[in-house]
Amino acid sequence: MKNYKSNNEFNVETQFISIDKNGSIIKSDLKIIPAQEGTLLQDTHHFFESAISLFKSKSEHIQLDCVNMFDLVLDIEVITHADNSGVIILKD
Amino acid sequence: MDDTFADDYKVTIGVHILKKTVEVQDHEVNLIIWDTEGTDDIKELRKTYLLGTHGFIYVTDVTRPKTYLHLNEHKEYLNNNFGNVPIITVGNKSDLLPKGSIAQKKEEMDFLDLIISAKEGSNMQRLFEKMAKTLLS
Repeated sequence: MKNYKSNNEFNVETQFISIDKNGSIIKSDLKIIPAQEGTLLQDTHHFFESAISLFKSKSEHIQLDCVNMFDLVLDIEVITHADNSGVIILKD
Repeated sequence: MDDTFADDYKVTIGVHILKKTVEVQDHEVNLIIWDTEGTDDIKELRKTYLLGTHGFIYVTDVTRPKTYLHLNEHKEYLNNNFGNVPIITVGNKSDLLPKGSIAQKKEEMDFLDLIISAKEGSNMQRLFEKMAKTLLS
């Protein structure tokens, strides 16, 4: 995640959320949405209840544009790893 | 989620995600609904919005034939691209029909599963229960 951050210069507000295979938040900054470490990502917003199921799909990198949540319209990337853990990147 | 849309509901750009819980056959079913932006050509819809879906609610407007003109073609597209999941077709905006004409409209539009009014909440509960029942069966 650090490498990804350092290799990309963002002009937009960006939040990285790292989760384990159960959807528990391992690491997150709090720039855009409230995602407290140690809580379940799917409890944060209904969107993530669906997003968790994407982790079982064959896709490894899914881009979802213009997702409305918390009165914001966000571009969201869902990156899954082989062990079903993953990173979610939110861009405002 | 209410059975009616709020007056200040913004026009959908992209996708809104809503949750509706219904009880059917002694089961509590949570429906996570991805309300996508409307489009005349379903192929223009971002495919990633539809990944992993368990069922579709295809919403047409009973006052605009353009919205149901390609219904069968679009159903075929959905089945071919997203698996053979259930598709419930509805005609929205029954509140705009003249009073007493809904039954006749329903007969005319017998290719639709339900006539609803999202504005007034008419048949909305029935719609979600129908989807939940279909998913359970």
